[in-house]
Amino acid sequence: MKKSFEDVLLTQMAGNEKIALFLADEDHDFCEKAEELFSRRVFRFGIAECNMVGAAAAFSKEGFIPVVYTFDSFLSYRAYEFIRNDICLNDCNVKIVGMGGGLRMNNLGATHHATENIAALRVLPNLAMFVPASPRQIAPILEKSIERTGSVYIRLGKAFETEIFEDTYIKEHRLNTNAQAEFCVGKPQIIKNGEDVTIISTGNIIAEVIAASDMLEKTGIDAEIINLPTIKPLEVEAIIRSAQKTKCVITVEEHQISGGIGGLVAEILIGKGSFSFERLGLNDTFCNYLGWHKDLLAYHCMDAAGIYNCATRMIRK
Amino acid sequence: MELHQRADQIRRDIIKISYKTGAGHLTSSLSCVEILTALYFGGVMRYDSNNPNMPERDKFILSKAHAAMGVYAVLARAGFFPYDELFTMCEKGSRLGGHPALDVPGIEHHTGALGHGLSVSVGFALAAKVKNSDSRIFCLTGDGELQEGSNWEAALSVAHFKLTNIIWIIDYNHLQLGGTVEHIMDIALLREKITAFGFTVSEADGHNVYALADLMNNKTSDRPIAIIANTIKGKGIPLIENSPNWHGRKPGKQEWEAILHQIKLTHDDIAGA
Repeated sequence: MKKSFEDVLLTQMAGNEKIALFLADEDHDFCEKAEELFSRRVFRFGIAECNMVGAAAAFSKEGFIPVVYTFDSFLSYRAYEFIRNDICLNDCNVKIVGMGGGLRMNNLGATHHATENIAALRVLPNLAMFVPASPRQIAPILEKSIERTGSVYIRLGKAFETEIFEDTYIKEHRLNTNAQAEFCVGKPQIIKNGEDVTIISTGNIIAEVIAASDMLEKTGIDAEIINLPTIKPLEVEAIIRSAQKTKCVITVEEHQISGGIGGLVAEILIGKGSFSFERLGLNDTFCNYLGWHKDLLAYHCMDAAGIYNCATRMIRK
Repeated sequence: MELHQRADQIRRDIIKISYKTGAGHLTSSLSCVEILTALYFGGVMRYDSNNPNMPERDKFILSKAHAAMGVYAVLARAGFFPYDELFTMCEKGSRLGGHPALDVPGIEHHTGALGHGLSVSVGFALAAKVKNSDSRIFCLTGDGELQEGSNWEAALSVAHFKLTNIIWIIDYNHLQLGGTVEHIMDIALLREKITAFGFTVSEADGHNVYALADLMNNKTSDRPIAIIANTIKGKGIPLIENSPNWHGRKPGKQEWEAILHQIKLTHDDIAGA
């Protein structure tokens, strides 16, 4: 997703002189290219996220659209007070882009994982939050974010994400033919219709959900898959309808199960019926297990097998 | 009105707000009266109180935002909002809170938490450069505030981006909430520190409004400007001048008697407009 985002951003900057890029310390080649193309609109702040975010807030007040881009964990944790006070409280027009969301920084360890920031950011007034499911969804998300007046946080992955919006992939996994990379602010995307269990996820972990759905299908369990490219502001009706249909809901996220989309969906379903409900993700723990991304997901039971086991256990009850 | 008389008027306004409303940080506001007076009445800042959003205006960022009462007094006297509104501070429904919010005409940025203003100033200054505007950005920080590391991130970037349109003023009164800056976490050799960051640093008597205005009007430096204003917290009220434990405290009834006696005012003087 990193490379896709960077390509899309430079294209957007070429078409809109109001967009400026605020960088901390990112890959040399990308930064050099951005500086070469747009020298007057690219500012490198170094390893100083707080200052970068505070400056971006004020910069936006002068009619510009600053895109603040660096690692997800450092942006949302270290600079949180600056996001809250300078961007949100001042209702600025800043696009904050965190790269390496969830466990995508893999074996660099828990300091580099961003596994609490949906909880921390989705409660901030005046901040929308968007998460692409796979690289092709980045362009429409960035486009809508730039069009939108007001601040947005975009939580990206990093690399090696499965592209779920390719025709062959859609056919192979029998996803809805209208499951496109399009992005409509607020709308959950029903990627696959089903009758027995609703599985809701955000970000590229949806590829694990789709793989789990394929496994479930072989045992006669028909899963409905909902992608949340918008965390906030979210239209909740599709989620409620699906839960009321299947009576069985699983949330899956590279995040703590409290406060993330597990918490979000629980809030939405309060008072809407009686459901079996499980949340998959990190359960009040950091991910100190080492390995590649798939290994980490498996260790915390949020890979395809973990989702499959959870669904079959719930349905057999 | 002479500039020093304007400063006296602002100081009296602040004392009146405190007396009438019990709101605000009295000593922190009194500490920066001459700094604020020089900015708004010393021919330093370009502004139009009838058009607070005038595009070519200079900007003032109150990073030591607890001194809001001082800024409100200056803004009211400069005509940004009615003078009588000062005495609604912190009352139900008032625009004038303990820290300045965007509802207040003349306030550029809602501040409150310390260590933000210089970064915000960097953003305004960068935007001015991109727009080829000669607008200047004045940022007032406290001294205890400089214990926040974000100020030094910001200072690095002011110099790195060559933001000669920033004037950073430090209200150096040596006191913070819990005692002296020197005892809690010293920022000594402040001039040397900021000079090393790439600023042209001047020091001044922070209660000499004329000297401050002269320094703020220096437009010839090829480096960003920092002014260390040596001040006295609570300046103008002997009872509370340079005294710890007065950071956010409101004077009690007997203390007001003593204060009014010291500054030669009666209850009627101060209760009137």
